[in-house]
Amino acid sequence: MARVMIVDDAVTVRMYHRELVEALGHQVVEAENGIEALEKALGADWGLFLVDVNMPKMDGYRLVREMRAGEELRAVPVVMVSTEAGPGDREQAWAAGANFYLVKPVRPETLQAVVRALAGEVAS
Amino acid sequence: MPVKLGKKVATLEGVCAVEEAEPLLAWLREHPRGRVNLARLEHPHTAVLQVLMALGPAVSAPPKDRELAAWLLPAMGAGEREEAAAP
Amino acid sequence: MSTQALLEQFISESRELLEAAGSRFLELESRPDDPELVNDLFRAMHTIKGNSGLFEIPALTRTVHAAEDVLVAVREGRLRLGPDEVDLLLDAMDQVGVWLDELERDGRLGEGADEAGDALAARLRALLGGPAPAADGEAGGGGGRGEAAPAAPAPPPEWVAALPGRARAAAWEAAAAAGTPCVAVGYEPDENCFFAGDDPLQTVRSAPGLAWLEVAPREPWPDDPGALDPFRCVLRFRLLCAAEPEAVAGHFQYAGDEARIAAFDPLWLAVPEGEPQGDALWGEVADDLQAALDAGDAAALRARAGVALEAQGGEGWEPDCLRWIARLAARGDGAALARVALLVEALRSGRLPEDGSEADTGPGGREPAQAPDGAAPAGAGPDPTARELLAAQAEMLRTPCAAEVWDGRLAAARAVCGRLGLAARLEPAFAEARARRDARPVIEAIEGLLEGGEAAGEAHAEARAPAAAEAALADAGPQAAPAAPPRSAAGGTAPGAGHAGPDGAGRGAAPPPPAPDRAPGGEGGGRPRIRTLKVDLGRIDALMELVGELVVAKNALPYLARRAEEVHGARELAREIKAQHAVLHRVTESLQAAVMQVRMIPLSHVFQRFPRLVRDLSRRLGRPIRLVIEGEEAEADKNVVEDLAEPLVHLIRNACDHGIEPPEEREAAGKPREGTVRLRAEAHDDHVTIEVSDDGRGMDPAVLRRKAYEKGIISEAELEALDDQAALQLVFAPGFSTAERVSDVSGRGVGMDAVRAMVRRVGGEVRVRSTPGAGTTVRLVLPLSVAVSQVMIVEAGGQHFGVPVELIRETVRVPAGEIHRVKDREAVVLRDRLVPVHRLHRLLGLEEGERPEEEALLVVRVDGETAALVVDRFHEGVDVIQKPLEGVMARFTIYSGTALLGDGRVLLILNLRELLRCP
Repeated sequence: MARVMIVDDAVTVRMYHRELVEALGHQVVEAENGIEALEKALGADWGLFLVDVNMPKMDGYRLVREMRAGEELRAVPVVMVSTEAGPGDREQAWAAGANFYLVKPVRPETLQAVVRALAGEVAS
Repeated sequence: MPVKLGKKVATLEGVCAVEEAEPLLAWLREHPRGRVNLARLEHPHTAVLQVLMALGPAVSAPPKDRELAAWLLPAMGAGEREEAAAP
Repeated sequence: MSTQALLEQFISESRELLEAAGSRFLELESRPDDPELVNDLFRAMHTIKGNSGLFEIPALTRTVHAAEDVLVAVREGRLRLGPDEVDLLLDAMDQVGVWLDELERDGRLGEGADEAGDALAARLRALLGGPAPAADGEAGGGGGRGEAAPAAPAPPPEWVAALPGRARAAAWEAAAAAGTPCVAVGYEPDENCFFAGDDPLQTVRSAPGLAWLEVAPREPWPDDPGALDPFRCVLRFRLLCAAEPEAVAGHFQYAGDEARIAAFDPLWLAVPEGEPQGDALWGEVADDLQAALDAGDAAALRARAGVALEAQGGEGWEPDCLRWIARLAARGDGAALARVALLVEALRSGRLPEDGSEADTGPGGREPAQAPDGAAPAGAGPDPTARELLAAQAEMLRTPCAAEVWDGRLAAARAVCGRLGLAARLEPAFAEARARRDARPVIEAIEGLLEGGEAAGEAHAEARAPAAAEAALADAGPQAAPAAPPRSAAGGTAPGAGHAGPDGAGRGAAPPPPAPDRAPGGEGGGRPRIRTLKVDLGRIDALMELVGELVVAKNALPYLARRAEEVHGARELAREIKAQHAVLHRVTESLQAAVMQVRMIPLSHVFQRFPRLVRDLSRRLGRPIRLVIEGEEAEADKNVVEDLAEPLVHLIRNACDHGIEPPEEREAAGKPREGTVRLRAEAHDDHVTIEVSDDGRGMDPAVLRRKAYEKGIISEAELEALDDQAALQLVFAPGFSTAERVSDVSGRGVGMDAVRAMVRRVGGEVRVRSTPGAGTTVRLVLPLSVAVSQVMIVEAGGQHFGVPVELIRETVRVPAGEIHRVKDREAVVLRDRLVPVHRLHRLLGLEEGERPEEEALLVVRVDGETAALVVDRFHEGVDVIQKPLEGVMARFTIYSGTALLGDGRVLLILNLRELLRCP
């Protein structure tokens, strides 16, 4: 079992992602924005971050930059999950250090396949 | 009064206001074979229109206003009912 | 996962965002440059849009997306919002709110949602100036289509294609002549619209560019003409207008959502009708036309269609095809010719090709089937995800980045490669990259792996998903271009985002399950505790009902105690029961208070809609009016708050319409041009007061008195006797209205008497104060809760009645001799004051027994007046759930309701206000 952080300001999206990730046997922690994510992330091992782009206080790009520039979370895989599908959006994600980019709404199979590949699945 | 209720024909003229709806309805109920003359009708209030549509009386003269006639007559089902009402 | 739960979550989150957005839009009007405000709004729209993608509700998605784009333009300084623009945005928010209601109720959007959504989106996008990029892939339809695809005009509502040919031809001609798009309007006026002075037919007939009109009943006409109510509007209008969409929207502005307006390219009108003749000859004509079409020669096309029509003429499918081809060729642009191609096909085959692209490419569009940038369709390999993840690492590392994230990024890429089971194979490359501070070795190594060059030999399974990666790599086919962007998941064509289907395809369908139902995974031990719960109101209501039943059950105990004592002579038992009752009473009370507390919501729930209301009224009346809201944080039971909305709306309308004078009049009176309406709430221990006041013209008690007299509401004697304060309260009398005219704003039926009735229904009271020339204040006093009330049981003529304890001042016994007769009335001196005495028997027409030596007096205070009621006996006070009287009983206004007692009896609750008014 891995610990997965879901960062999104939309409760609905968090709920959706959470169910999908938990179904693979992982433990989920939710955060509403980048700052909250960084606070909640302290002192734990993380299998994966699912990060929204557009959020109040600290957006997704900034969060990933902070993670990559810091010590503790620098190597934690990050999947950006954004409503934007333009090439420029993706480029910003790569520049910030995101490892993958999914466009909302994400199909359940797709999200689970990515989570499975990056964080495994707990046999049930 | 823009609605003249005769013995066999009700004549609607000009702009018929909402108050005309009830007397017209009453007349049409009392005169199931009564006809309506719409030649000089310019505008029926929606309530009057409803009465015409619901009871679908035979039309003795269609509106001269072609735009009005174009949609009013089909709405009243004028074609088929006129035949039914013919003696 | 429960789709239902997700949908509920979506609805509730969207509502919250909408509510917040509504007030922020109003703020935006006064502070259009506040970046924080714009950003908040943008984010709200963005979130709703993103969430809505989880369900198949393209109309909502499209509308919110358009609003989001408008806000982006504002944020970037390309657009400034004036009152009209804010109006439009507010309209859009209203519509989204309506859709959420529909979604909650029916699980899908109502009929006509697509047209309404298209119309709103088009109007919003019109603010941006540029052409409307309608129907882009936002519902997940087709990722990269946005820029490449020609702007596909939204299709009209389905009924348009079903109209008779002459209707569509008329609209086509009109649009061609006027050089405008076509606008389809479906209009279903409110049933009661006649009473508001509306004539929908008038509105319809004066619509700009009206080219076609159809009227039909919304329900079958009654068989019996006697059952027809001519004043209930049951008509449905369908119009085609050749006009600019804004003009039509403006014309139907006051129809609100009763009118569904959809602009569309007239090309959609070109649908042939009639029976195909199926003559081989038409094949030749089609070939002939095809040749002209292939040559792109619109003039020839038109001429040949004309000739063929003249030669073959007649009625039926083929001639109709020709007529449309001729019309389209006359227009001659690319889209028209594309449509001609379809019609030539139709001429040949006897049916209009429905190539499925119609729904999302517009009438003429034939788009490249998919994948406009030529990327390989994903999903070929057994685990394409692993390939894509790997490719994404190369893509990431290739993108330039800030120096401080470089190390972290490389470490993250290495971690991902490790998870994919490729750590050993890529480790040398990572080491080299770190040493040289250059990611190229890693990028090259990954590309090599993806091409399959290094895939041979040294496969070491070492991590969690090695098999997947190996299999994926082994499967690398020629079409897997090196470093191709991970389209299938990231690009959104398939399978990642394509599930919502093409725009419009899901019209009217229930949202599909976005995910298979699945039991949630194992509960993680260390999950943080949830501190707040959102609870469905229905559950709280159920809880409240149970508390009510508990109260009733508890109330049965004293009866039980009495029976134990009186019938069974068990005094000891009776005492124990009483003791238990006391404990139960305390616990129930606490429980009640706790549940009550949960039900308390701030008045802001109701208040927040008023800035919008006042703003709309102000614009409509042409009077500048400022609304000041104070104390909206005060709380009351949700029932009270909800019931408050309607009376408050009415009071505010009144204040704006009848209170505030036109600006010229105000200036002449030495007042500021801008009128002020103040809405003030204040919480007290057991009640909350709300005042609606204006600084308008005020009311003249003399005028009120005279009017009330003329209308027969008061007698001549009262005309003399009523003091000014009492005269003002006449506005609440049934049948009284101070307005000379029925105005558009406040003339919609509800009078002040209805306001008072509504306030009283929740146990409140309302008073008005006014100073001529200076303004009017209406003050509402409301209980914090309506759920449980305390009544005292009194007995008269052998019957029991309930009296609300909040009205009771005291209970006293006085010697019969102390009740004095003054003329035909009785009075008693209590605490040095003369208090009128009423006998409950007499008021209720009950039998009066022998007068005792000592009379039991219930001293009450109603509407500021103290009175004493003679009763036979006082009984205990009980907590009851009051139910309003139903059926014929509802006419007896001397009772305010009934309550079920612990022993099963039904108690009538006295309405003292009514009872004491008619002595």
